[in-house]
Amino acid sequence: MDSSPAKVTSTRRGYWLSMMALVVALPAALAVQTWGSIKDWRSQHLRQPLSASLGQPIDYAGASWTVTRFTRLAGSAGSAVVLAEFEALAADPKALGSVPCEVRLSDGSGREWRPTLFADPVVRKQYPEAEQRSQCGGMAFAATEPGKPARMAASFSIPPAASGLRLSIALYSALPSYLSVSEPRT
Amino acid sequence: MMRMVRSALALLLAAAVLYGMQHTRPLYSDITSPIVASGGMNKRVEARAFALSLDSARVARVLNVETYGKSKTYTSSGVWVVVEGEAEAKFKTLGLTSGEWLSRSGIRYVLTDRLWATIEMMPGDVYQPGLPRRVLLVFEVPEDAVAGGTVVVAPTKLLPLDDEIRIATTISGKDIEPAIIIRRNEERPPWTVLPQR
Amino acid sequence: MTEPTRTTIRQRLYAFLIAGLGGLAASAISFSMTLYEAAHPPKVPVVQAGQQIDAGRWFVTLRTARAGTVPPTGVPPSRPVQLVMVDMDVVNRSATPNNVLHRAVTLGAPAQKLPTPTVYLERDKYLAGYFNPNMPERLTMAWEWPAGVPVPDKVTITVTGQIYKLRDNVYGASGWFERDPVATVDLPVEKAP
Repeated sequence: MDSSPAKVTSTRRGYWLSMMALVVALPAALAVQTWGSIKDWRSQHLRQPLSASLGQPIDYAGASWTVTRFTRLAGSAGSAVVLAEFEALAADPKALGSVPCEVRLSDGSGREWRPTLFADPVVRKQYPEAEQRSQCGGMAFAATEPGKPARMAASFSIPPAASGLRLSIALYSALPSYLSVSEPRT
Repeated sequence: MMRMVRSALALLLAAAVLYGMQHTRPLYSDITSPIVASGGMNKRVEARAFALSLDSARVARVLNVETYGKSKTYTSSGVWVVVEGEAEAKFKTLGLTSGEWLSRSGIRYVLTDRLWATIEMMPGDVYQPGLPRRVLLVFEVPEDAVAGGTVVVAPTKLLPLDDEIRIATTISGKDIEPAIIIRRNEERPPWTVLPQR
Repeated sequence: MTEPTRTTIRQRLYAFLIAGLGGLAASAISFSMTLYEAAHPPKVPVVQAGQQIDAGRWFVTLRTARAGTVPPTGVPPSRPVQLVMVDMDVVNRSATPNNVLHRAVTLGAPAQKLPTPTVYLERDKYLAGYFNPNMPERLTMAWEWPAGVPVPDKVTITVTGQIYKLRDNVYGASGWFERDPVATVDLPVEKAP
């Protein structure tokens, strides 16, 4: 190696410049690589509730939503059944037809239930009309004429002791906000 | 001379380190293996997302499945292991789609797919938080894989680092019944295993 | 060390030369080996029906072949098809169940590629799913034969070997990988009247 002082200084400068560049480039590369995942995670996990109450319309995801029923029934095999009925009046129902919809029931202790695929027999007996309604999502909107509300329902199977129930309705196009309705006091 | 020896030694050391790293790195299946919670029979074993207890494990040569008065006989080149228990989701509604019988020698047998059309088994069910539910697991295994086998249950086989519960059974492998009947019920639980013991 | 710079450059030059020549030699050898193998394909042994074939992941014993229109379930399909059905015994020799036997046992097709065969378990006369390790099973594999092409009097079944790699080259994951055919079996085709 040439050991003249000028050469040594320039080599050193190059070394330190490279190190500094690495300090910037490495986090930048990581950020670019993970940006998509971070965005996905945010879109799935960051949620902002839009509080609504039973029977009162509220604007959400380009439609006017009303939760018309939120009631508890005694289900089979020692379980409780929660039946929720809601409707959405959209100017253009077809536009909502392809938007995934997520309906959940949660309680005060952080447990979360998905709607059951088939309603408990008690629902069929007490609210036969609810069984005719479709679950939230494309089907409900696709079958609706403009100017008429899309009627939907969800039933849940939960332990009778669960308390502090909240119903949440999330349309993926309107995330992070979602509709949140708490169980009416009886 | 000294310098060459030193270079050669450094090279050898580097090769040895690389060889060692190559042969001690964990397998891909170890890195992505599920997080296991283990336990024994008749105990509630808790994973993060669900809990499972097993209370019965029986072995038979022939399985008769009775559905609505019709009976179908299932034979095997090995034996049938019929396991019953109770599963519960802890925080979120989930399905338990993977069930395996792990023999003492480490060989895996999945839940039989020969009965799916006739009887409701664990993978088709949905588990709601706070509502424990009976589970039925049926395996088809060679006779020598019965003794000391372990039941492995997971919500899915596809997600790395997911939950898994392993319950060691206490079957000796010697008590083999000639035939077991699984009868489909109208009410819950949707099956009965006969003859009763 | 009177002229350190020049020595370094020469050393570097040698290093580059040696590395380049080594790489060149390696690729030349690999290329000529591939060429040689392509020109001299390994002779696949022809095995008699009824004889067990060791295919690594499987033991396969091919028995008989027949042509027909009704699968082993006894229920004819709604759309009439020509089926070539081959009876065989198999044992899964690996440590996990799998349902990919059709990758190891293939039927010599006329011109076009045949669709994935359906596997029926002899025991149940019904669709087979997973084959458990160390559990011998008799089964029927049914290939849908192209419409309008007559089924020949003799078919050739090729059994492909599979090997286990503890670490594959991409993820370092364990798995079974297809290799060369280990045997071919000629079976006369019994034709239903």
